[in-house]
This record gives sequence, C-alpha cells and structure tokens, in this order.
Amino acid sequence: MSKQIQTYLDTVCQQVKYREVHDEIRRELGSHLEDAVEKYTSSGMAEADAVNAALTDMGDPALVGQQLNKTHQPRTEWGLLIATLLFVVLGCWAMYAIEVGMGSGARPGFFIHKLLWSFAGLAAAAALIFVDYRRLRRYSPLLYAVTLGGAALLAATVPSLNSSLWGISYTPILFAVALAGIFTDWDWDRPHAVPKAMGLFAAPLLLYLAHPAAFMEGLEFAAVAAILVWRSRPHRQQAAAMAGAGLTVAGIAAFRLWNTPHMRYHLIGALTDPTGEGYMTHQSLLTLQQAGWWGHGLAEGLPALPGRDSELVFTFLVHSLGWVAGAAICCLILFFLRRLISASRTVRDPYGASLIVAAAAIFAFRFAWNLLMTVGLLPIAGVDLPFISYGKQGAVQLALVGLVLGIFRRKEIIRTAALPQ
Amino acid sequence: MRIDKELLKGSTVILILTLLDRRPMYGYEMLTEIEQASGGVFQFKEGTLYPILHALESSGYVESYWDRTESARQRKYYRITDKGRGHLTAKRREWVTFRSAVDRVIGEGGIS
Repeated sequence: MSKQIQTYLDTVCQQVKYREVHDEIRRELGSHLEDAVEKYTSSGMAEADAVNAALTDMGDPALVGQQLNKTHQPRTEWGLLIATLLFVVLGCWAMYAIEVGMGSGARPGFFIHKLLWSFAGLAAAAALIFVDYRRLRRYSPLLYAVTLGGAALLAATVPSLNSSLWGISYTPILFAVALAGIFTDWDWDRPHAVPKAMGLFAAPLLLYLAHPAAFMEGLEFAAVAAILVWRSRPHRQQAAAMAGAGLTVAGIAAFRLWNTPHMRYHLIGALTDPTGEGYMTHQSLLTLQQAGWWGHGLAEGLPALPGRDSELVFTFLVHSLGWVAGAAICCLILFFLRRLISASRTVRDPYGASLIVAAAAIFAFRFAWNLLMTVGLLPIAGVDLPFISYGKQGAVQLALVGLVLGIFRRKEIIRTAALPQ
Repeated sequence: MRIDKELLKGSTVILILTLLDRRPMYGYEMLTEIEQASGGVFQFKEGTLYPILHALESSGYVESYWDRTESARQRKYYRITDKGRGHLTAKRREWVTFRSAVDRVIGEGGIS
C-alpha cells in the first residue's frame, strides 16, 4: 500500500482515542482506497494521480477520524449501575434496622459488617470495570479445574455427609465464568464433543449431589451450565441427546429424593407444616400479611422472624417499609435482570455476551428462588437475596456486576468482527 | 447538480439501510450503488460513510463481518438486522410524510 495512503490512515487513526479499533479501521478504509485507486487506474489514470484522486474523494482524514472517534467510546450501563447501588443501600439499611430493633444485649455488628463487605465488593467491582475481561478467557480451563479440585477437597475433608461445606456457595459463579470461556467457540463437529461437554457438566454436578448441603448449588450450577451449553449452539441431535441424558438423570434423582422419607417429609413439611419444617415459611407469610401498605418502620426489629438478615430479608423489608415498597423492590429486581439480558444482546463479542448471560442466570436463579421462598411457593433452602442479605456473598456478587459493567464498557472499543480464515 | 450537504445528511441513513435491505454490501460497493441509482446526483465525501456505518452498527441496525471475495481482498461487509428493518420502515414513513408536506407547500403555487 502506498506511503501516501498509509499517511492518510495514520491521520485518521490519530483522531481515534482507543487504539484497539485502529487496526480494523485501517483495514476497512485501506480496502476502500485500494478499490478506488483500482477504479481510476483501470480507466487509464496513472497510479500517482489515481491515489491523489482516491484520497480527495475520501475527504479530510482528520474529520473522518473525529467522526469515527465518536462511535468508538466506552459505554456505561447506567440502569445496572444505579439498580445495583440501590440494592446495596437497601441491604445496609436493612441491617441497620435489624440492629436497632435488637436493642441492647444484641449481637453487634450486622450493620458495620454489611457496610464493610459492601465497600469491599464495590471496590472489587470498580477494579473489574477497568480490567480487560478478555484476559480471563485463556484461564477458563484452569479456573474450572481449580474450582473442581477445591470443591472436591472440601467435600472430602468434611467430617460427615450432612455437615455444611464452607465456601461451596461461591463455586457456581466460578464454574459459570469458566464454562462461559470454555464453551465460547466450542467445536461441536470435532470428535467426542458431546461426551466432553457432558463430562464438564457432570463432574461438578456429581460432587454437588453427593452432599445434601450443596443441593441448591447443584441446581444453580445445572441451570447456568445448561444455558451456556445451549448458547454454544450444538447440532439438534446433539442437543436432543444431551437433554435426554440430563432429563433422565434428573428424573432418577427426583425419584430417589421422593423415596427418601426424610427428604420427602422435609419437602412437604416445608410447605405445609407451620410448627415443624414449615416454621420459617409460616412466619414469613404471617409477617408479610401484617406489613400493611406502608409498613411499621424501623422500630420493630422482628426478633421472632428467623433468617431476617439472610433468607427472609425481603420479608423484613416489606414489614418495615410496606407492601408498596415490596412491589417497588420487585420491580427493581425485574428491571435489573432485564438490563442484564439486553446488555448481553448488545455486546457483540461472544465471550463477553456469554459472561453476561451467565451472570444473568445466576442472579435470576437466586432472586427468583429467594422471593418464591418468601411467599411460600418454594421450600426454605439457604438462598440469600443478592446484594441485600447479610454476608460475604454480596461482595462477590458486586464483583460480578463490575465484570459485567466492564464488558459493557468495552463493547464499542474492541474489534468484534472475526477476520476470514 | 451539487446537493446541499444538509439535505444529504438527513437521508443518508435511509439510503444505506435501503441498500442493505436488498443484500449485504461493503462500503465501496454502497457508494457505487448510490451514485448509480441516483443518476449521479448523490456524490459525497466517501470517508463520511464509515462513521455512519459504525454508528449504525453501534445502534444495532446493521452488523458487520469480514469476508473474502473472488479477488481475495478482505472486505468488511454489512448486513441489516431486524431492528434495522424496523428503523428503516419508520424512516420511510417519516420521509413520505415529509416529502408530501413539502410538495404540498411548493406545489400549491405558494412560491414561484
């Protein structure tokens, strides 16, 4: 390509702040200029004159560059950002109210711990917004292996099958991020693609299902992993085979669950027995009924409500702030999920989009299960309300939102169209 | 006849989307088509096409992909999206309203 054209392209790119798009711009404009020169030379013009003519037709390079620069700017998903901040404020407020309601002689620290973990989460989120998420991709298999190994170790070193597994609730997010990377550009035509995919799906699932304490994590993992595998577009027969295998296993598991008297009792009792298994659900429903349109304010700490800082924090909020506020919170949750889904559609990079879909699946699962638990449609199962409940989970969830915001931020400043082979 | 730049600016999007509605094209191809189809009336600084295309892609009305043709030169093609087709329909309607209004004012012997 002639030096003159190169200089022209350099001038254009000088006006475009984000270097990542320079290469693509040069290719596109360069290709155009080559076509233009060819048109002039094929009608008899000398090469040098043809180049001049083509560049004149193109117009002022600085102007072209400035106009291009306007499109290739970072973007902010304000809806997601503001909704998340509102959730954090709600959570801190709730912990404050719980502490106030406990009076003296209470276990201190709800509010201050919530504040600290929220700050930690927000700091992590802020950092992740400015990290190039694409660097994560190559570590996906490693992340998967480490998470699986860690979870297996946890399960092996725990004293009994019924004790709780510290840290297991962080694993679905880690698996989701890893699988998003593994299944982007997964080649379904290569030999053994289906067994490999099923293996990746089954290994964590077996681990989760082996421990009653990790049942919910298993469900969450299954839902998110299924979505990611489906997104990678297997052929119809492959998808049918995997779905068939999955449903068979699910059917067997459900059958076994139902035939274990202890589990069946827990499941039914959770939804119908107000003094035994269903105590929390019953209390939740009672409390919700007593809330009234505008709530009872800060004063009532509701010591009788179990899990008011964790699983039933929504019930607590409704009781304090009223049904109207409860409806508003539900609207905010739906808004948050909707922004996530539309963000996944406007991000053109497949890996980035998959990460956002994974995040959306995780949040949808947790919000939905928690809210349905609160109104008694699902058994109480240790699923906290994202961002709002007490605990360290909120910090990790904030970090995940930071990752999503970072992906969205870059959507116009990275090259997304793949070059032909 | 040189068309006033301001008049041109507003309708470039509708021109581009109409072309892409027929088939995917790359930038140079679009310019050639516009020039031919308009009988040489529309000629504008070629470089300004690309910021418009990139902005259309950013809005989700078109999507781009690189492809190789017989000449083995890599070209960046654009194709219209469903959202783009919807936008085109809306813009067409807008144009028809505008055009008939102008025709009515001019045609009714208002200004000679």
